Amino acid sequence: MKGYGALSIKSNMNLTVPGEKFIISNVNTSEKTKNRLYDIGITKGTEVIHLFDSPLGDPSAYFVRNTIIAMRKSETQKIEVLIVE
Amino acid sequence: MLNSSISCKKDAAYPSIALAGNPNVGKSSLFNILTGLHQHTGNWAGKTVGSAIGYTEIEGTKVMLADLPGAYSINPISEEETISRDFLLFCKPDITIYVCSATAIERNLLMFLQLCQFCSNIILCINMIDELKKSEKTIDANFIQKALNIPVVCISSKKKKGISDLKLAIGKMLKENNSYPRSLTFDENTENEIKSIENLIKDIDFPISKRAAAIKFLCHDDSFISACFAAYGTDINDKYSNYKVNSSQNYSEIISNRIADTARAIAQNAVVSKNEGSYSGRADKILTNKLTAYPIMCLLLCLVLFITVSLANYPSECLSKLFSMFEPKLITFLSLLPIPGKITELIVFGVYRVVTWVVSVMLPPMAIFFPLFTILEDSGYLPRIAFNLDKPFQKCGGCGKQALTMCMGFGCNAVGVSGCRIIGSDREKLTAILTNSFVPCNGRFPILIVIGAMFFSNNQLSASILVAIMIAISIFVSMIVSKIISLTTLNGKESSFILELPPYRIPQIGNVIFRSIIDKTAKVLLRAVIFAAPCSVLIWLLANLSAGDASLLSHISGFLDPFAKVFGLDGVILLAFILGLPANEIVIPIIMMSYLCSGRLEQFQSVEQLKYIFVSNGWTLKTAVCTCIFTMMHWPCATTLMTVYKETKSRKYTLLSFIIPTASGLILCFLANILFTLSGI
Repeated sequence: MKGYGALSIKSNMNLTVPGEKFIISNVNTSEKTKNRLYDIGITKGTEVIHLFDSPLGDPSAYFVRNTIIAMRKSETQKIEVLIVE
Repeated sequence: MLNSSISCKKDAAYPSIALAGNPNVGKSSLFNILTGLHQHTGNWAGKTVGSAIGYTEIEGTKVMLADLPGAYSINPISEEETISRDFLLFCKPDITIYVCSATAIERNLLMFLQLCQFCSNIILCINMIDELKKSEKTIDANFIQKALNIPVVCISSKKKKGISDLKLAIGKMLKENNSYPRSLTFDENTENEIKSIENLIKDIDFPISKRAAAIKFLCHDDSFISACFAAYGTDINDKYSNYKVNSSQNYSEIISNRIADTARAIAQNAVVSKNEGSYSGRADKILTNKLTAYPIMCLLLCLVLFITVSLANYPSECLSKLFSMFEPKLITFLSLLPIPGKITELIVFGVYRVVTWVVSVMLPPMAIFFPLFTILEDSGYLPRIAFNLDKPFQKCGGCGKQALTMCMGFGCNAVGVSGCRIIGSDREKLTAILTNSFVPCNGRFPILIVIGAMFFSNNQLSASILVAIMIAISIFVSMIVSKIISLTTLNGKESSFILELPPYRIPQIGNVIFRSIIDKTAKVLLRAVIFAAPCSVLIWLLANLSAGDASLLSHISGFLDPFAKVFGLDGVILLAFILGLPANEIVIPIIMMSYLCSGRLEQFQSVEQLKYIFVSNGWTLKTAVCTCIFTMMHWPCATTLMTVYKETKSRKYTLLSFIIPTASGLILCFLANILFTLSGI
């Protein structure tokens, strides 16, 4: 069930589909990965757009702070997000 | 005082300037412009491995420039990032130029704000402003300058604009030496904690300010603390462990958030856009979607290999003719010297022939392949390959970047092995290194093609198909072997795969061609020649010294023959591969030399002649197929073995890199032999 209008839906990053825009709410990965994600710009409150998936579905490419970052589902399933549109 | 664990490459006589920043922002481009030193730049994360040093004169002062590998953070997760961190924090350059990309200022500022805590003389250099213009945005450099209290210069390394402004800024900083970037302050709680740590460590020497060191403590930066110990003998492990155990809050997150908020605030105020730009990604739609991604990749690879092979033929022939024209002149020259005739023969027909053969066969293909490869790199397509192939490689215990090192291996396995530095995780890196030889390098292609031409001579298409099938089998086997390695190696640490896909850019063709030839081709060629020269002496001796009625070469190949026959080969072929250790290019000539008992490497006039010689010495279709299989999978050449040792610093893994492809090749040859024998061909 998708949000309608101003309503945002809680989800995990791996469950988003291409075209969806969302905001990072919680990063639950290992400490090392969390630090690396912060370095790349994926922090709480960051707006991210799910751009496209690789041909076999994993990894996926996301638009983060004007750059494109590819990540695997094994990592994105640990990131909680709020889907905005 | 620094011990050898951190190599500083600093020249005390000149001021040192470090070029730091995220990968793919144009540091190397800028380095080349400033120093005129040619060093290749590639359009994806992970190109500059190790740092490059150059010299230039700026405003009348000679300075040393260090081009550091790209890093996303001062907290390293890979070898390259560690090199960057160590140079910036321990070697302490006099000036740090932080290069950032105009199109991604917000992300680039993250590392910059980290650096502000540690380095004092920093210049922010915003590169690629030409790309920003295209997307109708402008940057208010003055705003950033005021906000951070450091000089900000906008340049375009592609159009060579703004360089003089940069030089002015550097010159000014060299003279005045008093730049202090505005450092971030945090909330009261955090500031108090920092102060208490500063107190704790007040008697200890650090290469950075006490406040900066305290922040490292605060963030539990194990890597930094142990690096301090390694570099300075600073023993703070006890205090640090105590602190870690007793600390309650996660300050690391507080600091990261503060940095992220500041970066966003600066970027939002400084970047002015006329319209709400968004990512169009037309190219990516075609290059990564389900239907077209893989066919395009295969097509491109085939195209690159096809161009390499077909264009290299003519220059190889020309070089060959040139060298053989020079041969009689060399003989005449040597006969004037007081050396025995046999030694002249050794020098001319042994060393000269082998070395010139290696050069004429190795040089043209590599000089074509690597420029083509670097054009793909510069365009930004290569990370998409890693992106598309990550999943299958992950299933085999590797990662998408292994596909890239394999592509490099098509040009030269030694280059492929050293390219494995781009892989962060130790285990995945090792897997990629150990299986790189499964990919046939430029030196092995001629063997496959000549055998294909001999036994499928009427049909160009089927010869090409044979080569393609062989490559496919080899890649398939290498992935199985990768899986086996990953299951048995103890280093079970998996890295998090986070890959940046840079924007597509038009490659700068002239630079590409010149630099990739110097960078990759010339160095590898030199090393191969260094290995080939002494080996050629051995080959000549074996072929010309006789025991009884036959040369040593015949004796040894006769001895190996029964063993080789088990695998569908013969003693001559096996010995040729053994003697071909310095370079696979000499394998076929050695086989020919052995069959003809000629004592010197011979050129073959035509494929028909070669086929006649081979078939009269017992070659059948089975021999051809088994030789092809063994060509694909046998021990790496000497240069590659040396590179594996350099990269792994382990004799065990170098030995494994020798054994693994050899064992796979022998097993498959054995199976092929059985299949052929059973089916009666």
